[in-house]
Amino acid sequence: MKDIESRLSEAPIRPPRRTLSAHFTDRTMQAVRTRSHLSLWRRLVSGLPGASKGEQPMHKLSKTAAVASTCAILALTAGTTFAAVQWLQPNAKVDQNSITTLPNGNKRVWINLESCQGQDTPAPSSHYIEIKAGAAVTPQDIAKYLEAQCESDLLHVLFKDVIPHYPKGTVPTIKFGQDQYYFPYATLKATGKDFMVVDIGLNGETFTDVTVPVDTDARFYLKGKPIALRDLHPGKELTLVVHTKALNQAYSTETLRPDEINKLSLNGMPIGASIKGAIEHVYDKLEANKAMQSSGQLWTNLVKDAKSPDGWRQVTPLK
Amino acid sequence: MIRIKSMSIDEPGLIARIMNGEQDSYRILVDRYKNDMYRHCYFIVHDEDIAEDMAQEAFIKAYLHLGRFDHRKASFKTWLYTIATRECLTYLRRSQPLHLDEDDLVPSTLAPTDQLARDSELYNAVMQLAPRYRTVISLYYWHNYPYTDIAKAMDVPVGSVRGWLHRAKQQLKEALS
Repeated sequence: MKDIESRLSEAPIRPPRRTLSAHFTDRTMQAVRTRSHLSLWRRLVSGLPGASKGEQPMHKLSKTAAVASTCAILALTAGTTFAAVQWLQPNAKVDQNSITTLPNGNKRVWINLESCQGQDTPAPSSHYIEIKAGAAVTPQDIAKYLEAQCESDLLHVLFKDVIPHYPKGTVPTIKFGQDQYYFPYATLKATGKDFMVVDIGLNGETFTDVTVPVDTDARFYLKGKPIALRDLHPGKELTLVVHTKALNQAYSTETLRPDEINKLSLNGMPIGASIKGAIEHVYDKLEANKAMQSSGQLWTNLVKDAKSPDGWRQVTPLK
Repeated sequence: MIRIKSMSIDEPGLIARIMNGEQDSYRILVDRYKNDMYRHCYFIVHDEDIAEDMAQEAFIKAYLHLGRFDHRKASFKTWLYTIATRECLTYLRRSQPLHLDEDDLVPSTLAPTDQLARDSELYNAVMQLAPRYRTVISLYYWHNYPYTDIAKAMDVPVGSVRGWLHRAKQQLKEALS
């Protein structure tokens, strides 16, 4: 036994000669990034109604924040890029220095919460996300912001690579009748993202009805009047409109079936498959738990749960 | 991507930076310990590809739980070994339950690289041991873990560690006699 002891101690056995290359480090770092994003996302959505109780949520997420964080995660894990925006209402004042470039090169994106429904909204100037020069907006950035805002809705969240394209100074505005809305479609379009995500409001908010793009066209319903999407952004970029009603409700029989999702297209370009693929990518990663299903509702219910100013109604796909 | 001269940064400071959002700095730790981790995992799982996976998993888990790491209690490397050990043992428990339940020798085929061992006879004998015996040998002799830390890493009482170590050496003796 002493001999064994001696051989073990004094002549350490050389392990396999193989060493791990830089590729291992790269792959590990990529996995770290992906996993930490997914972990964060899981924590975020776990605060949603019907979500898994397995993990302590960071806080209870607003529906908009759920949309935003889900998109961010999809963007960062599935490689699908999104530009995200929510309607900016007249009092949002985001046209005034919505993005400030600081002397150190960092960009400060001002967030205005005045138009958020039912929220305690401090002065606009107190809300911002600061982005380091050259850095992308990460889910951590979003999380920090969300934590700071507690229950408040995000008015808009700008994702990776969007910031550099965002105009300094003013945000494009669109007028509808007597109402003026700030809607940075044109700018966001220029970012070349795969999807633009429009998160619309619930009952009581000004914008209450949006349809998803179907077939060769898509429409927004503003106060009962359809508005052609192409009028908003002639570039015809892919646009996905997300409705979040389902977050607050149980599964609906109106949930789109997979084959229906696959049929979604805009301007001749199929988008359903991409959306579905992106969702499934996350589903696979997260092992189909309730949190995911809840998140999935964000997407699958968005068409038929779209809401008009007069109440919920079925969206009629354009022929 | 952040490239930092790894040796110039003390570990607690580096970890603090990572915790502060410099995710890419974690690369330094991965680079610093990846081979140690891989070898350690290899001793337990006895498969190069799985060892690599386990090492990667350990790094990922360490990152995700970095907030729990306390450098006053253990070095990052020790903590990482603990995570890796558990990962490997969990893997073996799930995939080859008998390996952990049986005290008998586990037959295996050694990879060609194994033959490069300095003491190939002893090395081969160790690699024939059941995973938990290999693990205690590896941690105790080659990583200088005290019994208590091995027990913690393997989630067993200290008495089990002592017993396994003793039995491992007995089996080695028999195998080499």
